[in-house]
Amino acid sequence: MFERFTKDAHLVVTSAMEEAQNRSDARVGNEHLLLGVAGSDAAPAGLDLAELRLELDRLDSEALEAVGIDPGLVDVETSRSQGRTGKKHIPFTRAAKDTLTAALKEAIALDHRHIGVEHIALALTRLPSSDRAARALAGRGVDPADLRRSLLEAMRKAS
Amino acid sequence: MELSEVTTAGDADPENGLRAVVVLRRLADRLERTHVKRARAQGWTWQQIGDALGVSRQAVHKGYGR
Repeated sequence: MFERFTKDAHLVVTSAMEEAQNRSDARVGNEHLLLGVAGSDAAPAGLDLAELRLELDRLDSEALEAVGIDPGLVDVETSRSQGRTGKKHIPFTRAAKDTLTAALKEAIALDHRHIGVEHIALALTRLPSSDRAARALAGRGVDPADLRRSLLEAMRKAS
Repeated sequence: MELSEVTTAGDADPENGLRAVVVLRRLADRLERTHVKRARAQGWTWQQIGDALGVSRQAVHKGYGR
């Protein structure tokens, strides 16, 4: 599947792996793919990498609060073990794999020969609202349907 | 905070509950790394550290030793 990815789309996947590693997450999930998309040179308008990173930290604080732990006691950001040595292979979650497959389907549906950043972004607009990537978008006030529309419009203009 | 408050937070959805476990585990890992290093610097043996953590000497050494 990856041979049909554009250079930028490849970079989204490798950035997602780096984001997972930097956040000390044990799996590459949709939230990391979202960060990869937001950090891309070909990122769609309205996705801010720094803000989305903060939003994921906020979701972690929210999770602690939900089980009755004061997030101030934990400090979500520094609870990450920084500087973990070496490049370790981090597996993808099922949901993140599904997103990459969905990106391929988005490209096929549009009759595009290659899978670009915009197709991964399109796939990320169709996640269930409980997904961490969807929750991060919602937290930043990004409506997935609006994002989808503007992505499709930008593609129409470009073609 | 009472531990019972945490363990009885039954109103949390699994999404948040499981994520909280990940965040706390991450914190515990970091705390462990810091204190294993500190113990080694103060001359503790791998056996002593393992005993303190409730794991085998080999397990600690495998994770931190070289």
